[in-house]
Amino acid sequence: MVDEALSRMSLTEISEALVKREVSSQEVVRNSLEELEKRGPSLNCVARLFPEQALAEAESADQELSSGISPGPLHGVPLLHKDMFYRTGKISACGSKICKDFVPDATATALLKLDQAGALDIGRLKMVEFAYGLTGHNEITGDVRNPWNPEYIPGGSSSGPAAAVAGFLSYGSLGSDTGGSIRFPASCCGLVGMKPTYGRVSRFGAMPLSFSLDHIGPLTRTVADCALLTQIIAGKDTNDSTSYYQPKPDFLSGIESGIQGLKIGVPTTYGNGPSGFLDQLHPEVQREMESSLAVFRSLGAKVVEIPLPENFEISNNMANIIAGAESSSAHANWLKEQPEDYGSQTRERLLTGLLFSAVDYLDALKLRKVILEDFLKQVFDKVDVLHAPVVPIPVPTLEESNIQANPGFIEYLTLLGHFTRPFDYLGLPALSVPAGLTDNGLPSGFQLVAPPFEEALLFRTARAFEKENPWSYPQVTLG
Amino acid sequence: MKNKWSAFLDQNYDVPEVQFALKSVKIITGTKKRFLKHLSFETEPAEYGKALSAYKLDIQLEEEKNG
Repeated sequence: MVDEALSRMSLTEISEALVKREVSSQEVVRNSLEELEKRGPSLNCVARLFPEQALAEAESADQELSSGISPGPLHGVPLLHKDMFYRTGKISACGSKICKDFVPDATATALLKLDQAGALDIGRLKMVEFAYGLTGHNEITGDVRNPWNPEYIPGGSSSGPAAAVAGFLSYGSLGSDTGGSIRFPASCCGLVGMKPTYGRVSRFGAMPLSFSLDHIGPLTRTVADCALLTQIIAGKDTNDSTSYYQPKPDFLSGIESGIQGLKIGVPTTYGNGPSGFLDQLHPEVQREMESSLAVFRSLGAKVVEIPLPENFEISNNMANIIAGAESSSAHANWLKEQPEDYGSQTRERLLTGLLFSAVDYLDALKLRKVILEDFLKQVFDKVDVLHAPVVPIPVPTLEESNIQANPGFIEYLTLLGHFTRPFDYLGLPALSVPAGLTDNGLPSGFQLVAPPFEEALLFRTARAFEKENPWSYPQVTLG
Repeated sequence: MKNKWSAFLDQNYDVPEVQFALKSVKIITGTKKRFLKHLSFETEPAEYGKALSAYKLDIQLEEEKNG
Protein backbone atom coordinates (compact mmCIF):
# COMPACT_ATOMS: atom_id res chain seq x y z
CA MET A 1 0.00 0.00 0.00
CA VAL A 2 1.53 3.29 -1.13
CA ASP A 3 1.97 5.95 1.56
CA GLU A 4 1.32 9.16 -0.37
CA ALA A 5 2.27 11.36 2.57
CA LEU A 6 5.70 9.74 2.57
CA SER A 7 6.07 10.31 -1.18
CA ARG A 8 5.08 13.96 -0.86
CA MET A 9 7.73 14.82 1.73
CA SER A 10 10.53 17.05 0.52
CA LEU A 11 14.10 15.80 0.29
CA THR A 12 15.11 17.65 3.45
CA GLU A 13 12.01 16.38 5.30
CA ILE A 14 12.57 12.75 4.39
CA SER A 15 16.27 13.04 5.26
CA GLU A 16 15.42 14.37 8.72
CA ALA A 17 12.76 11.71 9.25
CA LEU A 18 15.28 9.00 8.40
CA VAL A 19 17.97 10.35 10.71
CA LYS A 20 15.44 10.68 13.54
CA ARG A 21 14.39 7.10 12.75
CA GLU A 22 10.76 8.12 12.37
CA VAL A 23 10.80 5.96 9.26
CA SER A 24 13.28 3.37 8.02
CA SER A 25 15.14 3.49 4.75
CA GLN A 26 13.61 0.14 3.82
CA GLU A 27 10.10 1.58 4.25
CA VAL A 28 10.97 4.61 2.15
CA VAL A 29 12.59 2.56 -0.62
CA ARG A 30 9.71 0.05 -0.73
CA ASN A 31 7.25 2.92 -0.93
CA SER A 32 9.23 4.56 -3.75
CA LEU A 33 9.45 1.32 -5.72
CA GLU A 34 5.69 0.78 -5.35
CA GLU A 35 4.98 4.34 -6.49
CA LEU A 36 7.31 3.90 -9.46
CA GLU A 37 5.63 0.65 -10.43
CA LYS A 38 2.15 2.11 -10.01
CA ARG A 39 2.54 5.56 -11.59
CA GLY A 40 5.84 5.46 -13.50
CA PRO A 41 4.35 3.90 -16.65
CA SER A 42 1.67 6.58 -17.08
CA LEU A 43 4.35 9.29 -17.05
CA ASN A 44 6.73 7.12 -19.13
CA CYS A 45 9.58 8.55 -17.08
CA VAL A 46 11.43 5.48 -15.82
CA ALA A 47 14.31 4.04 -17.83
CA ARG A 48 15.27 1.27 -15.39
CA LEU A 49 15.20 0.45 -11.70
CA PHE A 50 17.67 -1.34 -9.42
CA PRO A 51 15.15 -2.79 -6.92
CA GLU A 52 17.17 -5.61 -5.39
CA GLN A 53 20.24 -3.47 -4.92
CA ALA A 54 18.11 -0.63 -3.55
CA LEU A 55 16.47 -2.81 -0.92
CA ALA A 56 19.79 -4.36 0.11
CA GLU A 57 21.40 -0.95 0.46
CA ALA A 58 18.39 0.33 2.40
CA GLU A 59 18.76 -2.56 4.84
CA SER A 60 22.45 -1.67 5.29
CA ALA A 61 21.56 1.99 5.78
CA ASP A 62 19.10 1.08 8.55
CA GLN A 63 21.65 -1.20 10.22
CA GLU A 64 24.30 1.54 10.10
CA LEU A 65 21.96 3.99 11.76
CA SER A 66 21.11 1.43 14.46
CA SER A 67 24.78 0.89 15.14
CA GLY A 68 25.23 4.59 15.86
CA ILE A 69 27.25 5.77 12.87
CA SER A 70 27.23 9.46 12.05
CA PRO A 71 24.87 9.67 9.07
CA GLY A 72 25.46 11.73 5.94
CA PRO A 73 22.92 14.39 4.98
CA LEU A 74 21.08 11.98 2.64
CA HIS A 75 21.47 8.80 4.66
CA GLY A 76 19.14 6.14 3.26
CA VAL A 77 17.29 8.46 0.86
CA PRO A 78 16.39 6.87 -2.50
CA LEU A 79 17.02 8.97 -5.62
CA LEU A 80 16.72 8.41 -9.36
CA HIS A 81 18.72 10.31 -11.97
CA LYS A 82 18.77 11.15 -15.66
CA ASP A 83 19.89 8.16 -17.75
CA MET A 84 23.26 9.70 -18.57
CA PHE A 85 25.02 9.45 -15.21
CA TYR A 86 27.42 6.56 -15.38
CA ARG A 87 27.81 3.93 -12.69
CA THR A 88 30.26 1.11 -13.12
CA GLY A 89 28.47 -2.00 -14.33
CA LYS A 90 25.08 -0.32 -14.87
CA ILE A 91 23.65 0.50 -18.29
CA SER A 92 23.57 4.19 -19.28
CA ALA A 93 21.47 4.33 -22.43
CA CYS A 94 21.39 8.16 -22.71
CA GLY A 95 17.87 8.03 -24.12
CA SER A 96 19.15 6.32 -27.25
CA LYS A 97 19.12 3.11 -29.24
CA ILE A 98 22.83 3.47 -29.94
CA CYS A 99 23.83 3.22 -26.26
CA LYS A 100 21.04 0.89 -25.15
CA ASP A 101 23.60 -1.70 -23.99
CA PHE A 102 26.38 0.69 -22.96
CA VAL A 103 27.89 -0.33 -19.62
CA PRO A 104 30.41 2.24 -18.36
CA ASP A 105 33.54 1.29 -16.45
CA ALA A 106 33.53 4.39 -14.25
CA THR A 107 31.10 6.14 -11.93
CA ALA A 108 30.16 9.79 -12.23
CA THR A 109 31.79 12.04 -9.65
CA ALA A 110 28.40 13.57 -8.83
CA LEU A 111 27.02 10.11 -8.04
CA LEU A 112 30.05 9.28 -5.88
CA LYS A 113 29.46 12.45 -3.90
CA LEU A 114 25.81 11.50 -3.39
CA ASP A 115 26.95 8.01 -2.32
CA GLN A 116 29.24 9.59 0.28
CA ALA A 117 26.29 11.65 1.54
CA GLY A 118 24.40 8.40 2.09
CA ALA A 119 21.95 8.57 -0.85
CA LEU A 120 20.73 5.37 -2.47
CA ASP A 121 20.83 5.21 -6.27
CA ILE A 122 17.69 3.27 -7.19
CA GLY A 123 17.30 3.85 -10.92
CA ARG A 124 17.53 5.92 -14.05
CA LEU A 125 15.02 8.28 -15.65
CA LYS A 126 14.21 8.84 -19.30
CA MET A 127 15.59 11.79 -21.21
CA VAL A 128 15.76 13.33 -24.65
CA GLU A 129 17.99 11.31 -26.95
CA PHE A 130 21.60 12.22 -26.07
CA ALA A 131 20.21 15.27 -24.19
CA TYR A 132 19.84 17.17 -27.46
CA GLY A 133 16.45 18.86 -27.29
CA LEU A 134 14.26 21.02 -25.07
CA THR A 135 10.74 19.70 -25.60
CA GLY A 136 11.11 16.24 -24.06
CA HIS A 137 10.07 14.28 -27.14
CA ASN A 138 12.01 11.09 -27.80
CA GLU A 139 11.40 9.05 -30.95
CA ILE A 140 13.39 6.12 -29.53
CA THR A 141 12.13 5.66 -25.97
CA GLY A 142 8.79 7.47 -26.22
CA ASP A 143 7.69 10.85 -24.92
CA VAL A 144 7.74 11.56 -21.19
CA ARG A 145 4.53 13.17 -19.91
CA ASN A 146 3.98 16.16 -17.68
CA PRO A 147 2.43 15.23 -14.28
CA TRP A 148 0.37 18.43 -14.33
CA ASN A 149 -1.37 17.25 -17.50
CA PRO A 150 -0.18 14.23 -19.49
CA GLU A 151 -1.12 15.84 -22.80
CA TYR A 152 1.62 18.45 -22.30
CA ILE A 153 5.40 18.28 -22.62
CA PRO A 154 7.49 17.98 -19.45
CA GLY A 155 10.31 19.89 -21.15
CA GLY A 156 13.74 18.47 -21.80
CA SER A 157 16.23 17.24 -22.03
CA SER A 158 15.91 16.24 -18.36
CA SER A 159 12.34 15.17 -19.06
CA GLY A 160 12.31 12.06 -16.86
CA PRO A 161 13.83 13.82 -13.82
CA ALA A 162 11.31 16.67 -14.10
CA ALA A 163 8.31 14.36 -14.44
CA ALA A 164 9.49 12.04 -11.67
CA VAL A 165 10.22 14.78 -9.14
CA ALA A 166 7.04 16.76 -9.88
CA GLY A 167 5.08 13.48 -9.85
CA PHE A 168 6.45 12.49 -6.38
CA LEU A 169 8.37 9.53 -7.77
CA SER A 170 11.78 10.84 -6.66
CA TYR A 171 12.76 13.26 -3.88
CA GLY A 172 15.16 15.00 -6.25
CA SER A 173 17.19 14.15 -9.31
CA LEU A 174 20.34 15.08 -11.18
CA GLY A 175 19.98 16.52 -14.66
CA SER A 176 22.22 18.24 -17.16
CA ASP A 177 21.95 21.66 -18.82
CA THR A 178 23.69 22.48 -22.11
CA GLY A 179 21.07 24.84 -23.52
CA GLY A 180 18.50 24.90 -20.72
CA SER A 181 17.91 21.19 -20.08
CA ILE A 182 17.56 21.59 -16.29
CA ARG A 183 15.79 24.96 -16.11
CA PHE A 184 13.41 24.40 -19.03
CA PRO A 185 11.83 21.17 -17.70
CA ALA A 186 11.93 22.58 -14.16
CA SER A 187 9.82 25.49 -15.41
CA CYS A 188 7.42 23.23 -17.33
CA CYS A 189 6.85 20.99 -14.31
CA GLY A 190 6.86 23.60 -11.53
CA LEU A 191 10.21 22.66 -10.01
CA VAL A 192 13.33 24.35 -8.73
CA GLY A 193 16.26 23.68 -11.06
CA MET A 194 19.85 24.82 -10.64
CA LYS A 195 22.36 25.24 -13.43
CA PRO A 196 25.49 26.03 -11.42
CA THR A 197 28.43 28.10 -12.62
CA TYR A 198 30.42 26.37 -15.38
CA GLY A 199 33.11 24.43 -13.53
CA ARG A 200 31.30 24.37 -10.16
CA VAL A 201 30.15 20.72 -10.51
CA SER A 202 32.24 17.98 -12.10
CA ARG A 203 30.92 16.49 -15.31
CA PHE A 204 33.16 13.43 -15.03
CA GLY A 205 31.14 10.30 -15.70
CA ALA A 206 28.22 12.18 -17.22
CA MET A 207 27.47 11.72 -20.91
CA PRO A 208 29.06 14.56 -22.86
CA LEU A 209 27.01 16.60 -25.31
CA SER A 210 29.06 19.77 -25.64
CA PHE A 211 32.02 19.96 -23.28
CA SER A 212 32.21 23.76 -23.38
CA LEU A 213 28.58 24.15 -22.37
CA ASP A 214 27.62 21.07 -20.33
CA HIS A 215 26.55 21.70 -16.73
CA ILE A 216 25.32 19.25 -14.06
CA GLY A 217 22.72 20.22 -11.47
CA PRO A 218 19.65 19.16 -9.51
CA LEU A 219 15.87 19.40 -10.00
CA THR A 220 13.86 19.46 -6.79
CA ARG A 221 10.50 20.50 -5.33
CA THR A 222 11.91 23.08 -2.89
CA VAL A 223 14.71 25.63 -2.85
CA ALA A 224 16.29 24.09 0.26
CA ASP A 225 16.35 20.67 -1.43
CA CYS A 226 18.08 22.21 -4.43
CA ALA A 227 20.63 23.96 -2.21
CA LEU A 228 21.32 20.71 -0.36
CA LEU A 229 21.94 18.67 -3.51
CA THR A 230 24.08 21.41 -5.06
CA GLN A 231 26.10 21.63 -1.85
CA ILE A 232 26.82 17.91 -2.02
CA ILE A 233 27.78 17.63 -5.69
CA ALA A 234 29.77 20.88 -6.04
CA GLY A 235 33.56 21.05 -5.85
CA LYS A 236 36.80 20.68 -7.72
CA ASP A 237 37.44 17.31 -9.34
CA THR A 238 40.78 16.39 -10.85
CA ASN A 239 38.93 14.08 -13.26
CA ASP A 240 37.23 17.08 -14.89
CA SER A 241 39.72 19.52 -16.37
CA THR A 242 37.10 22.27 -16.49
CA SER A 243 36.20 22.20 -12.80
CA TYR A 244 37.55 25.08 -10.72
CA TYR A 245 38.98 25.48 -7.24
CA GLN A 246 36.57 27.99 -5.73
CA PRO A 247 35.46 28.55 -2.14
CA LYS A 248 32.19 26.71 -1.53
CA PRO A 249 30.04 28.48 1.05
CA ASP A 250 27.31 26.65 2.94
CA PHE A 251 24.40 27.17 0.55
CA LEU A 252 21.86 26.42 3.29
CA SER A 253 23.20 28.48 6.19
CA GLY A 254 22.14 31.93 4.92
CA ILE A 255 19.14 30.80 2.95
CA GLU A 256 16.57 32.32 5.35
CA SER A 257 18.20 35.73 5.71
CA GLY A 258 15.92 37.56 3.29
CA ILE A 259 16.52 39.98 0.46
CA GLN A 260 15.93 43.43 1.95
CA GLY A 261 17.73 45.94 -0.27
CA LEU A 262 18.70 43.41 -2.92
CA LYS A 263 18.88 44.88 -6.41
CA ILE A 264 17.08 42.74 -8.99
CA GLY A 265 17.60 43.59 -12.66
CA VAL A 266 14.94 43.14 -15.31
CA PRO A 267 16.50 43.00 -18.80
CA THR A 268 15.35 45.47 -21.44
CA THR A 269 17.14 46.21 -24.71
CA TYR A 270 20.44 45.05 -26.18
CA GLY A 271 22.57 48.17 -25.75
CA ASN A 272 20.74 51.17 -27.16
CA GLY A 273 19.24 49.11 -29.95
CA PRO A 274 15.56 48.72 -30.76
CA SER A 275 15.23 45.04 -29.89
CA GLY A 276 14.96 43.65 -26.41
CA PHE A 277 15.68 40.39 -24.62
CA LEU A 278 12.01 39.97 -23.67
CA ASP A 279 10.54 40.84 -27.09
CA GLN A 280 9.35 37.32 -27.87
CA LEU A 281 7.71 36.70 -24.51
CA HIS A 282 4.12 35.44 -24.54
CA PRO A 283 1.71 37.76 -22.66
CA GLU A 284 0.65 35.04 -20.21
CA VAL A 285 4.26 34.33 -19.28
CA GLN A 286 4.86 38.08 -19.05
CA ARG A 287 1.97 38.29 -16.59
CA GLU A 288 3.56 35.66 -14.34
CA MET A 289 6.94 37.42 -14.55
CA GLU A 290 5.37 40.68 -13.41
CA SER A 291 3.56 38.93 -10.56
CA SER A 292 6.81 37.43 -9.35
CA LEU A 293 8.53 40.82 -9.49
CA ALA A 294 5.71 42.29 -7.39
CA VAL A 295 6.45 39.64 -4.76
CA PHE A 296 10.13 40.57 -4.77
CA ARG A 297 9.25 44.26 -4.35
CA SER A 298 7.02 43.41 -1.40
CA LEU A 299 9.96 41.62 0.20
CA GLY A 300 12.12 44.74 0.11
CA ALA A 301 14.05 44.15 -3.08
CA LYS A 302 14.65 46.99 -5.49
CA VAL A 303 13.62 46.03 -9.03
CA VAL A 304 15.39 48.01 -11.75
CA GLU A 305 15.27 47.82 -15.52
CA ILE A 306 18.64 47.19 -17.08
CA PRO A 307 19.83 47.17 -20.70
CA LEU A 308 22.01 44.22 -21.65
CA PRO A 309 25.25 44.48 -23.61
CA GLU A 310 24.67 44.81 -27.33
CA ASN A 311 26.75 41.71 -28.07
CA PHE A 312 24.67 39.56 -25.69
CA GLU A 313 22.10 39.35 -28.50
CA ILE A 314 24.23 36.75 -30.31
CA SER A 315 24.82 34.51 -27.28
CA ASN A 316 22.08 32.07 -28.21
CA ASN A 317 23.49 31.64 -31.72
CA MET A 318 27.08 31.36 -30.47
CA ALA A 319 25.98 28.61 -28.10
CA ASN A 320 24.31 26.85 -31.01
CA ILE A 321 27.55 26.93 -33.00
CA ILE A 322 29.57 25.52 -30.10
CA ALA A 323 27.01 22.85 -29.23
CA GLY A 324 26.60 21.96 -32.90
CA ALA A 325 30.31 21.55 -33.57
CA GLU A 326 31.18 19.76 -30.34
CA SER A 327 28.24 17.36 -30.37
CA SER A 328 28.79 16.49 -34.03
CA SER A 329 32.44 15.82 -33.30
CA ALA A 330 31.52 13.53 -30.40
CA HIS A 331 29.00 11.64 -32.54
CA ALA A 332 31.04 11.54 -35.76
CA ASN A 333 31.69 7.80 -35.72
CA TRP A 334 28.10 6.81 -35.03
CA LEU A 335 26.86 9.31 -37.60
CA LYS A 336 28.98 7.57 -40.21
CA GLU A 337 28.35 4.00 -39.15
CA GLN A 338 24.74 3.87 -37.93
CA PRO A 339 22.89 7.11 -38.75
CA GLU A 340 19.60 5.20 -39.00
CA ASP A 341 19.77 4.44 -35.28
CA TYR A 342 19.21 8.08 -34.32
CA GLY A 343 15.81 9.73 -34.04
CA SER A 344 15.21 12.06 -36.95
CA GLN A 345 15.59 15.34 -35.03
CA THR A 346 18.79 14.28 -33.28
CA ARG A 347 20.30 13.06 -36.55
CA GLU A 348 19.43 16.24 -38.41
CA ARG A 349 20.78 18.45 -35.64
CA LEU A 350 24.02 16.47 -35.53
CA LEU A 351 24.37 16.63 -39.30
CA THR A 352 23.77 20.37 -39.21
CA GLY A 353 26.55 20.68 -36.66
CA LEU A 354 28.96 19.26 -39.22
CA LEU A 355 28.37 22.32 -41.38
CA PHE A 356 29.94 24.82 -38.98
CA SER A 357 33.47 25.71 -39.97
CA ALA A 358 36.42 25.60 -37.60
CA VAL A 359 36.57 29.39 -37.87
CA ASP A 360 32.92 29.73 -36.85
CA TYR A 361 33.54 27.49 -33.87
CA LEU A 362 36.65 29.34 -32.72
CA ASP A 363 35.00 32.71 -33.21
CA ALA A 364 32.14 31.60 -30.97
CA LEU A 365 34.60 30.45 -28.30
CA LYS A 366 36.68 33.64 -28.52
CA LEU A 367 33.64 35.91 -28.33
CA ARG A 368 32.57 34.14 -25.15
CA LYS A 369 35.12 35.95 -22.99
CA VAL A 370 34.32 39.35 -24.53
CA ILE A 371 30.57 38.95 -24.05
CA LEU A 372 31.00 37.59 -20.51
CA GLU A 373 33.17 40.53 -19.44
CA ASP A 374 30.75 43.05 -20.96
CA PHE A 375 27.83 41.30 -19.27
CA LEU A 376 29.50 41.22 -15.85
CA LYS A 377 30.40 44.90 -16.07
CA GLN A 378 27.18 46.23 -17.53
CA VAL A 379 24.81 44.07 -15.49
CA PHE A 380 26.41 43.00 -12.24
CA ASP A 381 28.07 46.32 -11.51
CA LYS A 382 24.51 47.65 -11.22
CA VAL A 383 22.38 44.80 -9.86
CA ASP A 384 22.90 41.78 -7.63
CA VAL A 385 20.84 39.29 -9.62
CA LEU A 386 19.04 39.28 -12.95
CA HIS A 387 15.42 38.12 -13.27
CA ALA A 388 14.33 36.55 -16.58
CA PRO A 389 11.77 34.12 -17.94
CA VAL A 390 12.72 30.50 -18.68
CA VAL A 391 10.24 29.27 -21.28
CA PRO A 392 9.03 32.02 -23.65
CA ILE A 393 5.57 30.53 -24.20
CA PRO A 394 2.99 28.64 -22.14
CA VAL A 395 3.92 24.95 -21.97
CA PRO A 396 2.79 23.43 -25.30
CA THR A 397 1.07 20.10 -25.76
CA LEU A 398 3.07 17.07 -26.87
CA GLU A 399 1.22 17.15 -30.17
CA GLU A 400 1.63 20.81 -31.08
CA SER A 401 5.35 20.84 -30.29
CA ASN A 402 6.18 17.52 -31.94
CA ILE A 403 8.18 19.16 -34.70
CA GLN A 404 10.68 16.29 -35.16
CA ALA A 405 12.96 17.23 -38.09
CA ASN A 406 10.35 19.18 -40.03
CA PRO A 407 11.42 22.40 -41.77
CA GLY A 408 12.09 25.15 -39.28
CA PHE A 409 12.78 22.84 -36.32
CA ILE A 410 16.16 24.45 -35.59
CA GLU A 411 14.58 27.90 -35.53
CA TYR A 412 11.84 26.57 -33.21
CA LEU A 413 14.39 25.07 -30.81
CA THR A 414 16.41 28.29 -30.97
CA LEU A 415 13.32 30.23 -29.91
CA LEU A 416 12.56 27.82 -27.06
CA GLY A 417 16.11 28.23 -25.73
CA HIS A 418 16.14 32.01 -26.13
CA PHE A 419 16.15 32.67 -22.38
CA THR A 420 18.21 29.71 -21.20
CA ARG A 421 20.95 29.00 -23.74
CA PRO A 422 22.75 32.38 -23.36
CA PHE A 423 23.52 31.61 -19.72
CA ASP A 424 25.07 28.26 -20.64
CA TYR A 425 27.23 30.21 -23.08
CA LEU A 426 28.31 32.68 -20.39
CA GLY A 427 28.56 29.92 -17.77
CA LEU A 428 26.73 31.99 -15.15
CA PRO A 429 24.74 30.29 -12.37
CA ALA A 430 21.00 30.34 -13.03
CA LEU A 431 18.18 29.02 -10.87
CA SER A 432 14.71 28.26 -12.24
CA VAL A 433 11.88 28.88 -9.76
CA PRO A 434 8.12 28.25 -10.15
CA ALA A 435 6.25 31.53 -10.62
CA GLY A 436 2.62 30.70 -11.37
CA LEU A 437 0.28 29.09 -13.86
CA THR A 438 -0.58 30.18 -17.38
CA ASP A 439 -4.15 29.88 -18.67
CA ASN A 440 -3.68 26.23 -19.66
CA GLY A 441 -3.08 25.35 -15.99
CA LEU A 442 0.58 24.51 -16.57
CA PRO A 443 3.45 26.04 -14.56
CA SER A 444 5.61 28.91 -15.70
CA GLY A 445 8.90 29.74 -14.02
CA PHE A 446 11.37 32.56 -13.81
CA GLN A 447 15.12 32.25 -13.51
CA LEU A 448 17.51 34.21 -11.36
CA VAL A 449 21.02 34.71 -12.72
CA ALA A 450 24.02 35.72 -10.61
CA PRO A 451 27.73 36.48 -11.05
CA PRO A 452 30.09 33.48 -11.24
CA PHE A 453 30.08 31.19 -8.19
CA GLU A 454 27.30 33.14 -6.43
CA GLU A 455 24.90 30.20 -6.17
CA ALA A 456 24.30 30.98 -2.47
CA LEU A 457 22.81 34.35 -3.42
CA LEU A 458 20.43 32.65 -5.84
CA PHE A 459 19.23 30.19 -3.21
CA ARG A 460 18.67 32.99 -0.66
CA THR A 461 16.73 35.06 -3.18
CA ALA A 462 14.63 32.14 -4.37
CA ARG A 463 13.91 30.99 -0.82
CA ALA A 464 12.58 34.45 0.10
CA PHE A 465 10.21 34.22 -2.87
CA GLU A 466 9.18 30.65 -2.05
CA LYS A 467 8.29 31.56 1.54
CA GLU A 468 6.08 34.40 0.35
CA ASN A 469 4.61 32.51 -2.57
CA PRO A 470 4.22 28.87 -1.47
CA TRP A 471 3.86 26.42 -4.31
CA SER A 472 1.52 23.47 -4.37
CA TYR A 473 1.72 20.51 -6.68
CA PRO A 474 -1.27 18.86 -8.29
CA GLN A 475 -2.86 15.80 -6.77
CA VAL A 476 -1.47 13.26 -9.17
CA THR A 477 -4.24 11.00 -10.39
CA LEU A 478 -2.44 9.18 -13.17
CA GLY A 479 -2.21 5.46 -13.45
CA MET B 1 31.80 28.90 -51.69
CA LYS B 2 30.25 25.70 -53.00
CA ASN B 3 33.71 24.28 -53.66
CA LYS B 4 34.43 24.32 -49.94
CA TRP B 5 31.55 22.05 -49.08
CA SER B 6 32.11 18.40 -48.63
CA ALA B 7 31.40 15.93 -51.39
CA PHE B 8 28.32 14.89 -49.47
CA LEU B 9 26.91 18.38 -49.62
CA ASP B 10 27.76 18.78 -53.27
CA GLN B 11 25.97 15.57 -54.09
CA ASN B 12 22.97 16.41 -51.96
CA TYR B 13 22.64 20.12 -52.49
CA ASP B 14 19.14 19.73 -53.89
CA VAL B 15 17.93 17.62 -50.94
CA PRO B 16 15.49 19.74 -48.90
CA GLU B 17 17.00 18.73 -45.53
CA VAL B 18 20.43 19.88 -46.68
CA GLN B 19 19.05 23.18 -47.90
CA PHE B 20 17.25 23.75 -44.58
CA ALA B 21 20.43 22.95 -42.67
CA LEU B 22 22.53 25.29 -44.79
CA LYS B 23 20.00 28.05 -44.33
CA SER B 24 20.02 27.58 -40.55
CA VAL B 25 23.80 27.61 -40.41
CA LYS B 26 23.94 30.76 -42.51
CA ILE B 27 21.49 32.54 -40.17
CA ILE B 28 23.28 31.39 -37.02
CA THR B 29 26.80 32.25 -38.14
CA GLY B 30 25.84 35.51 -39.83
CA THR B 31 24.98 37.21 -36.54
CA LYS B 32 28.54 37.30 -35.23
CA LYS B 33 30.06 39.29 -38.08
CA ARG B 34 29.53 42.75 -36.63
CA PHE B 35 31.14 41.80 -33.32
CA LEU B 36 34.25 40.12 -34.66
CA LYS B 37 36.02 43.45 -35.10
CA HIS B 38 36.17 43.73 -31.31
CA LEU B 39 38.29 40.60 -31.06
CA SER B 40 41.98 41.35 -30.83
CA PHE B 41 44.53 39.44 -32.87
CA GLU B 42 45.81 37.74 -29.70
CA THR B 43 42.45 36.53 -28.35
CA GLU B 44 42.40 32.87 -27.29
CA PRO B 45 39.36 30.75 -26.35
CA ALA B 46 40.93 29.78 -22.99
CA GLU B 47 40.67 33.38 -21.79
CA TYR B 48 37.00 32.75 -21.10
CA GLY B 49 37.82 30.37 -18.26
CA LYS B 50 40.20 32.86 -16.71
CA ALA B 51 37.58 35.61 -16.86
CA LEU B 52 34.96 33.37 -15.25
CA SER B 53 37.09 32.02 -12.43
CA ALA B 54 38.85 35.31 -11.60
CA TYR B 55 35.73 37.49 -11.37
CA LYS B 56 34.96 36.89 -7.71
CA LEU B 57 38.60 37.22 -6.70
CA ASP B 58 38.93 40.47 -8.63
CA ILE B 59 35.85 41.90 -6.88
CA GLN B 60 37.23 40.93 -3.47
CA LEU B 61 40.60 42.52 -4.23
CA GLU B 62 38.89 45.70 -5.39
CA GLU B 63 36.78 45.84 -2.23
CA GLU B 64 39.87 45.39 -0.06
CA LYS B 65 41.67 48.10 -2.01
CA ASN B 66 38.76 50.49 -1.50
CA GLY B 67 38.65 49.70 2.22
